[in-house]
Amino acid sequence: MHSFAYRLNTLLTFSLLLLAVLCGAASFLDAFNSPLAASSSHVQASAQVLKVNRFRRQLNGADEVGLTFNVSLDVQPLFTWNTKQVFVFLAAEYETPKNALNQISLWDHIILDKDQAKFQTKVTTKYPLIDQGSNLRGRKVDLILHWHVMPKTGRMIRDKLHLSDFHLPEAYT
Amino acid sequence: MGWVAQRMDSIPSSQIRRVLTQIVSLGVIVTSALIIWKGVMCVTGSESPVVVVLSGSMEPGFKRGDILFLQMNKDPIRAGEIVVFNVDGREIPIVHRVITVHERHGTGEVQILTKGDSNYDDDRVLYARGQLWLEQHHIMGRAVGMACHCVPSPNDVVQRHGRPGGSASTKPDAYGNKRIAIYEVLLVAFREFLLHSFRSRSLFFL
Repeated sequence: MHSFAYRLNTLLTFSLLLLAVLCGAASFLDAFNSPLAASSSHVQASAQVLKVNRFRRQLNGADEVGLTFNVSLDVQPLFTWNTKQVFVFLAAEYETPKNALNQISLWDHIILDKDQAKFQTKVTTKYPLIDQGSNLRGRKVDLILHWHVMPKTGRMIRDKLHLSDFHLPEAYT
Repeated sequence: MGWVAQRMDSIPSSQIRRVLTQIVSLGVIVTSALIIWKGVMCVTGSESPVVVVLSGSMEPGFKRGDILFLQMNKDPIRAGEIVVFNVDGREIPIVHRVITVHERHGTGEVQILTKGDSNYDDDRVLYARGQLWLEQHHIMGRAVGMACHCVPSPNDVVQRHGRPGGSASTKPDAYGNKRIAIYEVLLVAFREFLLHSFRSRSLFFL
């Protein structure tokens, strides 16, 4: 009953269980600490389109747009002890006669720590805005900043913020 | 024949009973693990509620060996979600992020383009020949959370032994669906094992 093997056995079982409980508790507590609606509203960002670099119709009939824009963002409120990275991307959203919703990511960025989470930069579209068809002339496009907080463990959080909108030119350039 | 009977007689019946009890307990544990597994599949709505990340194409967010929790419901897929999808003709599901969504008026059908965070190109090279978009029925689930970096990947093991590492980050690793399934069942069995130990105050087989 009190042999070495029995004691080792009990000790091992207990420590494994404790470890499992701690892991569960860490994930659970993080749910309270995670930046929900409260901090998401503290995220600040803005984006302006500076120039339409390219607006043409491809050979297959699809419109293609390339832009240069200024983006400034501050996602520092989203960082907690449990944040591994914040993935931000700027999406162009618009509606066409055929499609109720089109969301196209123009630019994305990975932020690994809080110090890098506040910056402004001038960028060109990383991924071209290509429509399904040629509905973009004169179209109103919304620029929406999406972010995805990826934790070390636990639930991932997604949210977005409408930044601005702009109108594409009436004619191809 | 007589020799066998003699050997059988010399084993006390209490020993046999203990062995049989252990075998039955093992059966109970495996069965309840399977029950829990199927139950989780039902609750999350996904065929594969827990997956292991096999490739490094989502680094630094997801590393090889990370465990992800998936969920699936009828909500429309939106840009920025991390989805797990199967491509016709490929065994292994891929975990990547949605970068483009086109949703039709009326029917609400969506056409989706995905890309791994650390890949340079979008996933059109991975889709089936002639396939330009993914649709809702290709998606097995959305990643909603991650557990830990628990599973040492074969790649880690290979590198530790000094041979060059595995495939490029743009390809899904060819380790096969079987490995995912084994890891998943092991995870659940391990949890069952912990619960059983808690109840009986000892590790199972001692």
